[in-house]
Amino acid sequence: MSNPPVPDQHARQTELLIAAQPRAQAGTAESPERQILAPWMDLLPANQRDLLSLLPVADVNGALFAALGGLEQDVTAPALPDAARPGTIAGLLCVDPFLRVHDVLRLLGAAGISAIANFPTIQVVDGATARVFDSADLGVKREFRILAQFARAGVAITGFATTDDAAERLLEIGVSDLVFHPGLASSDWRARAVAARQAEDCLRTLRPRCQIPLRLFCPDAFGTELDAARALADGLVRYA
Amino acid sequence: MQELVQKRAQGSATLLVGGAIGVGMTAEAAVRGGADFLLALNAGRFRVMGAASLAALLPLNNSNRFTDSFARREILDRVSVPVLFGASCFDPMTDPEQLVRQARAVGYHGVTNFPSSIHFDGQFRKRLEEAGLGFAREARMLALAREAGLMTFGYAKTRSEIAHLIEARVDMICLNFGWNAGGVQAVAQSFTIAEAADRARRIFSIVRSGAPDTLCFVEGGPIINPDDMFRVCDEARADGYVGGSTLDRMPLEMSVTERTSAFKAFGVLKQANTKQSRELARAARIAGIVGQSEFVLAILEQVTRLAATDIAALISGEPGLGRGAVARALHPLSGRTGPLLTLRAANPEASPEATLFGDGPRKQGFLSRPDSTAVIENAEMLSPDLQARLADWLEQEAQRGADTSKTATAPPTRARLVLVCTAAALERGALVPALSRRLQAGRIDVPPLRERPEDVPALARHRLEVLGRGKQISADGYRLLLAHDWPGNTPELRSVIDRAALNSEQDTIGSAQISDAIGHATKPGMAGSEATPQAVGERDWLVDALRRNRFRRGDTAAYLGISRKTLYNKMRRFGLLE
Repeated sequence: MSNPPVPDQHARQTELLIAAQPRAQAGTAESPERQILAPWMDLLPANQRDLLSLLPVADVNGALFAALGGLEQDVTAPALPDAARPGTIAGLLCVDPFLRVHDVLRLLGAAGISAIANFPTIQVVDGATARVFDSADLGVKREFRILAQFARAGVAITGFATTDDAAERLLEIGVSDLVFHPGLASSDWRARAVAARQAEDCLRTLRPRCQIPLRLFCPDAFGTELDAARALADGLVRYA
Repeated sequence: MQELVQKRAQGSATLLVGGAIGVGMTAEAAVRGGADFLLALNAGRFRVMGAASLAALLPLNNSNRFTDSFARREILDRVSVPVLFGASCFDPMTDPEQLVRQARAVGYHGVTNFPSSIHFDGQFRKRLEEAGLGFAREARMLALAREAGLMTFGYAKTRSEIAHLIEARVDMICLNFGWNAGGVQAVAQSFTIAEAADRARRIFSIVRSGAPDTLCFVEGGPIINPDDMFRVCDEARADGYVGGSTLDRMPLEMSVTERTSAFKAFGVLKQANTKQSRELARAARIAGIVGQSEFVLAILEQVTRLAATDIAALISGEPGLGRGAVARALHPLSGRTGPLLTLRAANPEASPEATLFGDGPRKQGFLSRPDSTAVIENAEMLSPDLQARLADWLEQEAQRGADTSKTATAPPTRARLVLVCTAAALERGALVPALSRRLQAGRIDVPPLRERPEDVPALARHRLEVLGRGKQISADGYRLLLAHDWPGNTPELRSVIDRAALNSEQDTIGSAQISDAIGHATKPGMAGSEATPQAVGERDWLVDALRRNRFRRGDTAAYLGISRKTLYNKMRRFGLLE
């Protein structure tokens, strides 16, 4: 049985970049080039950002809000038409216990942004720690709940998933893009190979059920191990 | 440090207590309470900001800058005991030497490794260690601090981490049992008190053989009150305890709840000066209603308003909510001079129709007695024919009332009809539509206790007053009472309080007695069984781990950081072996 066609063939060709600074608008007005805005990248060493973006080293949401003008700014005025940034996706730490969806919606609106991504994602934290995070309502369940709130408010979601179960949940929420995250890269090639194989399996499982672009996140430390998974994805996501 | 060692040496009965805090007010209060030292931790700050301690591990700020900022302004130089800085070693841009230098320069008396890699496991922990940002780096920071003359307090969870700390020759080792149970933001637990005590005993014997001068502390997990602490410290011969959530969040949550409740009650008492409130207070006293929730006030207002009329009433709700008392209270409150008559429809020997409507010339029915109140309990058990007759009677009464108002002649007041029914019976349509329609104007729904937990402390205090032994309930005890669903409503609560008071040898009833009494009051096998939310969570966690590891038990056990035997036992417990 052949795989169903992906609706947006353009997505197969393009890479989705994660960048610290908003880039000058590229692409056409109808099809703007997209990027995930993650200003915290500038605060962390490039070779360890996947790990450090989930540790108390920097305020990842604070960096995003500051880049967009700050939560304290007067956002009562409607966004100016030239402020629209249709290709920008705001990378948000959804498990931030002090995150107020209403405020973020106003800030995004004022900045002309109408899409977010659950990046960095708490799904990367595993084992018993993940269970403890969940029981304190700071885990995956909270991440999905916050994403669902944004989705209900009409925000487009680029959903990062580390397992096929998480991907299913994101599809239920109604994400517009799905990105498979292979987890933190190990310095041991065997561990990377196992992670790559799991990524490949998950992409195969998701492919028939996924009617939206299905991308693969390629952290810098992964190399050729991800080649087979790359071939199954509609596009890649990587750091700029 | 010598001062702490001497305190401990003065007598083994004196346990050292450290406060892991994050705000000036808590720091000063902990010292007034006798804390021997303080740990300034980002987790303490997050707790008073309303988040769980676990937020300490999230990328919400630079932990070292954050902690230093509030500790300098609010804690250092404001307390008379040593203050240790909670230093995070996660930041690769700040090396341990730099951290120690800064802590010393600022004026901290020592350092501790918090937030720590010990709180992570699985692949994430492996990556942390591979990156050189794991426990070895924390142990190195502590060793450097000791060399610099600072006090060192090392958090650890496993034997291997303890070995690192012994090698680093830290002054104090704290065996952490995970994030605290208890309170509104409790997290799932890995240990029971007995397991924690056993684990501490084994690990501290290793510490004592390798580093006899090191002080041993316990913290977290199931230790949520002084009794738990004493049990673990006593069995493990620990030198002391460090409290975080147990010193600030849990007491604060409960104390704010109780104080607010007390102020609210005071407001209600003050309102009693008004005529309306005096009527409400009288209604509460007569109906035996205890509580101060909006629900209770609404019921009292309904009862008071209804009492001033002749409208027939329908009191519904679950059993055990005092519906009968509310129904009967309508009689004295309405000032009727006739008798209060009660028909128990569930009584197989009752002849409801004859009782209500009379039996010819031989017996006058309840409904014919002037100025009376006729209460029918378990009204859902009346036959449909009798219900239809009651609906007709109500219709005739209404018509008679209308005619009377036209003629302006005052006829003798007939009986007021009050039906008492279970909510479940009403939902399944146990009353015939004609009767149900007639009673809607005077319907009072008494909500179950689980929908108004704010009434639970007042009911518990009321019961203790009735028992008259001058006992109180601890904050943890109230926490358990508030967390329970009370399927048996007020009688269940009464029974729990009675049993807990009986089993408590002290003036304060603790969580242990409340927990035991609740266990007794609920169905056998429910407490602590797979039916609890925590167990359901654990089962989900197991299934998730098994699925992630393609149901390979060896891999799953390694992934979860437990032995294959423990995994097998857990799978068997949750029925995952078939």
